[in-house]
Amino acid sequence: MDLPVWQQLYADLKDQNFQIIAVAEESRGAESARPWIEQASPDYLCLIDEEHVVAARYGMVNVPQAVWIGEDGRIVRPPETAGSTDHFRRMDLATRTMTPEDQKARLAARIAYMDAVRDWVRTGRHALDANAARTALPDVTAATTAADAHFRLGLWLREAGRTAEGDSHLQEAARLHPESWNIWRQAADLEAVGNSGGAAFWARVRALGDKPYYPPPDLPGFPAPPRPPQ
Amino acid sequence: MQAEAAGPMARPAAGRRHVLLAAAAGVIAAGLGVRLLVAGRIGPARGDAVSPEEAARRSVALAVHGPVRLERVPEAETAAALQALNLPEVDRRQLAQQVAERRVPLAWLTLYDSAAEDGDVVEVASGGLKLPVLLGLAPIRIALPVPADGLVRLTGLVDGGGGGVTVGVVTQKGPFGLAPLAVGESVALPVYAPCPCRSCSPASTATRPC
Repeated sequence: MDLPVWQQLYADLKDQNFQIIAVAEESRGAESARPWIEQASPDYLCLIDEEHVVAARYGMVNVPQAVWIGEDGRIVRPPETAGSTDHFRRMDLATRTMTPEDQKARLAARIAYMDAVRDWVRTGRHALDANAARTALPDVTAATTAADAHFRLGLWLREAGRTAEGDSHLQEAARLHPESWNIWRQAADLEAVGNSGGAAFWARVRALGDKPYYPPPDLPGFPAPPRPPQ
Repeated sequence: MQAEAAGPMARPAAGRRHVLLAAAAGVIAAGLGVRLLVAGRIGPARGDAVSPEEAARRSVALAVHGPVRLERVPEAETAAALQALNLPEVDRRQLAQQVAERRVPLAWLTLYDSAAEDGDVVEVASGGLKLPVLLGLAPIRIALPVPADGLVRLTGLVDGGGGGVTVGVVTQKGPFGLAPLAVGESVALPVYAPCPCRSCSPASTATRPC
């Protein structure tokens, strides 16, 4: 989901006690994120999270993901994919195009997600009760906690000019928390913007096999996951 | 919506709101970007919606921006850069040979979708090479032969969700949205890629390896 889409949603719902907080997971520094935000000129809050603290605390492992928080401050939906689908995995890499059917499914997912948010704000539907929300939250394990620590240490070392040492910690973070695409992709992009979407990314996606890259949220109208490419 | 709570202790404090906490990547954006949720302006949820005023502003902005500086691809990264282009093998070999013989330098161009990520595809033509590029919110970096005429031509190929093919270019000044392209419409992006060697002037716009 992108800034203009969030902006549209915010414009629709801002008078109904609704707030969006967008968090840019960007370890290259606030100045790297600033132009993107300034260009979009969003009316809602945008935070820049250089150390991925928000992602770690809420268990976010990919982008775009979103957490719904009710008026009582309780999480009513855990971190989940915010309108993206796995149809991109069937992209023809030679032409960088997708079939009309897959594009249609991607659009349907986005619409379904946005409609669900509107429905929640206006009617309360789709909010999980406390037990269900708690059960759906991602596990915090020794490995994920250690991964976060390695990630931040890696960033610190790189900032201190100890790039090789930093990279080894970033790699260890990705090893300890393989479900976190945020960690892996951020580390890749610290070398150069765009690395995270390159050949290594696609190899990693292919290695998922039948596992989803974007697990679909249980929301009405959200399309079923596509069959992975053979 | 004001929620009705079961009792006073559960009643939301005044001013409490529904909050949607969204993580985006600046790059991590389908260019990780931060992919921050990045990009664009106010737009629709179902496709690109760049207003005519915004499109006009972007057209003017391109004119005043001036040539976009591209960074040369270091020799150590050339093989990987060529591999990532997904060219037909014969074309890849030809380009690799030209690069190896120092007849053509390669430079990085970083593109993204400057509005909704709705499946827009742009054709990038530079130095005899033509590449379709699916635009995402996360910037995607591609290696291109530096064009002898100093122009990279961008042509709209697929308008994913309507509203035009909304190409964005990451320049040294930051992300830069171009006016939306209709399918088949082209825009020439002036570029230069100075040679990084110490022999050349930093202001050199030479399009060949020294």
